[in-house]
Amino acid sequence: MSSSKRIAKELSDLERDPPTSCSAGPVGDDLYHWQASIMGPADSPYAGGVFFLSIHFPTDYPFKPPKISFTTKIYHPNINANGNICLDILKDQWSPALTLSKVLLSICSLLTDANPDDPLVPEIAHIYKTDRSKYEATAREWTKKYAV
Amino acid sequence: MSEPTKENVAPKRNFRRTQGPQNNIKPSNDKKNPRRKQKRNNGPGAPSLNTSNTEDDSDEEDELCVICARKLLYVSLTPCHHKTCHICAFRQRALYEKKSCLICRTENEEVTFTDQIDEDISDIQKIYEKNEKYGINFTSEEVAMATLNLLKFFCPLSKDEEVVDFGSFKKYNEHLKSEHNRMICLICATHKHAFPAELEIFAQNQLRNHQSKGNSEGFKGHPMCAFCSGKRFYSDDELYVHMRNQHEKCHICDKINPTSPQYFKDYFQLFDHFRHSHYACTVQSCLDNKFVVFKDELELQAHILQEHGNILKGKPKFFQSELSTFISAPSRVVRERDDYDLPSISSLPDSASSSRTNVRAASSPEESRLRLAERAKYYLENSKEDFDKFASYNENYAKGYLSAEKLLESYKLLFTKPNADVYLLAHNLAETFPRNSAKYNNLNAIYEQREQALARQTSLPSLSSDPSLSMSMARGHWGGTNDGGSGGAPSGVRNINNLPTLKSPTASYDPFATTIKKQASKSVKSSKRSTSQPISYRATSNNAVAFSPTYLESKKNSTSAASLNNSKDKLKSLNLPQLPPPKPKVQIPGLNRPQAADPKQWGKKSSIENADVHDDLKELSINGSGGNKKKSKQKQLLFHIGI
Repeated sequence: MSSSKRIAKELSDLERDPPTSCSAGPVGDDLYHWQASIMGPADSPYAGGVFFLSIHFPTDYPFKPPKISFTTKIYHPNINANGNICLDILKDQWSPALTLSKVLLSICSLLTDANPDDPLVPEIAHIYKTDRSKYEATAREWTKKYAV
Repeated sequence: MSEPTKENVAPKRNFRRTQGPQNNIKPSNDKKNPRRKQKRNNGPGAPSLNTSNTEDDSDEEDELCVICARKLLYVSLTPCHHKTCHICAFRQRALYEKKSCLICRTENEEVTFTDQIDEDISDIQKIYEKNEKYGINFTSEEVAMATLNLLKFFCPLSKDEEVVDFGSFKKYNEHLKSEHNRMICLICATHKHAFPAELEIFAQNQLRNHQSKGNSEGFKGHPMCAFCSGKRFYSDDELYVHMRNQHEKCHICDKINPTSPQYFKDYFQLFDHFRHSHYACTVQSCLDNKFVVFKDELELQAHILQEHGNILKGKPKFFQSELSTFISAPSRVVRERDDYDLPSISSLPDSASSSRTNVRAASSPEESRLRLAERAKYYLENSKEDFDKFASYNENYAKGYLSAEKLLESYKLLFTKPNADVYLLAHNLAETFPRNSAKYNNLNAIYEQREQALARQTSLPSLSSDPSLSMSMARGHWGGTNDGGSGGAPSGVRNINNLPTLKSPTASYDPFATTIKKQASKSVKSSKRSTSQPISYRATSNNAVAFSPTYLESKKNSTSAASLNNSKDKLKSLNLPQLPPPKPKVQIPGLNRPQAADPKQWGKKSSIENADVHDDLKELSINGSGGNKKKSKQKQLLFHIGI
């Protein structure tokens, strides 16, 4: 089907014009399995960290969204212990016109602005809402421990 | 064009099966030679999928569909002014049955399919044909045929003269089987949202291979349900839905280790698992409610006292027999588990966190190498030239031509961006070398020096005096491999240093003293456990079970290890705000029934009253011997009886 062509195009676009704060590419020869990295945004407690993500494109891509999860442990209200990300554009708000690079940028901005009202980890969301400095301190510590 | 509108009133479902009438919709002059027409239109229809695949690699970008990246032959123009190829747009409208724009998700009742690929929708004046079922205006017959023929089931293996639309995947497959000894994958047919011509045609063994292992890149086969023999699903998503609806997942295992869900065929098997591996409440009402099961015995006990406290309040005889029934389940668990000491229970969260550290997978040399490269690329803004320089520095360091200090100097010259942190680079590079090698130590020493300097500057007290923070930090370490001893501070000292409320955080704070923390976290946990007992005890005391404080005290003194007592005393002396152990002790005497104070009398009474229970309990108390405080708490009254 059409997915491999589209994925190949995204790859060549990424190589031609790499985004500044993230990168992505296939793991080995499999065009459908990629690894990506995201730099912790400077204005967030994740600053200084390099976070890795694993990406699986479904064969129905881009009609179905890619499956993306963090492989680096991260303390965030919308990312759980498995690295699963709660982000609307990865689910029902996915649009076939979105590209991986746009999704990675959205994840970057999710790191800067978490969405505690739709949490994946309610405990962290609670701390985020009630004691922001404590949340930031913990996120910084985790970043230092797992992503530096 | 009155005929087509009549046709299109027909219910949705019939559409694909009644492809025949679709031909008739085509202009009446078509009817003169429908076969010839069909053949001609078959060309732009199905084969266009293939031809466009091969020919457009070098085309300009604006010639490509943004969705599928194939060359635009016909386009779909939307009222929201977006352009995609006709195949993608038709897939969305006909197969996914969605009217939203592929690009901006605007709901469009009508779109225009045309061969004038450079026009805007507002420039299109003449509509040749309108398809109301899909809400598509075609500007020419050619476009209409190319689009609508995508839905037809033509056999590509048959000779040209025999072009027949089979009307459904089933009939198409039957034809392939009987005429050509080939088949399509019916799982793909129903779920892939592919047009018939896009489906691969397999020989029998190829199909098996396709379904079990996958035959193309990015496709690993259709996953099978382990419980329903032979039942395959289109993808993991469909399998997951099936597992969720048809089978049972153990929510306790899920809590302990979220990375590997444990599924069971049905509730019967799941309950078996509950009884063997967890702590199920066996009171009838809870059995009926299902899923009343707990991670550890403490939680089960809290549940029993809270939910079934009325059973305890009942007549003495009743109360004891009931008690023995629901104690029996956990004790069975105990035997199957083979270990029942405090450490074994605390090993539960340990295993949970070890799984969590699997996710982490940090500090492996490969990952450090990758992290180093990604960080450098980011700092250098993807400059290839600078990155090569950077790589050569690292190589020189690895070969020993450059010292760590010299390397850092070179880094500082190379990385001039303000956000570039050369110390982090040094740290990442260090981790690509084996631990404790000179290359690792030299580089990491530089990083640690800087970090310690930073740590001194920043306001640490506020950070580490936060009790829950230090707790969660400690949790991050659980289950990490214990890499060697870390100097040997006595455990008591560690305990104090790492207890939630620290008196002197600055002294003990060291971000790199991981090993100390690792061990400390365990002692924190055990001490937490011991201090938390009075709390749960107090909670349960509301249920009017007669507790004796003197009994409690004596239990503590006799059974708990000296070190525990020690840490307990120290805990007390710290006067922790969030752990109010002294309170319950003050309150309990008020609730106390004086005649219950003497354990000996209890034992006598109940043994006279119910000999059978006595035996049961004796066994329990043997299990619980060995100074297990927790156990004795759980079976407060029974324990006496056992003695």
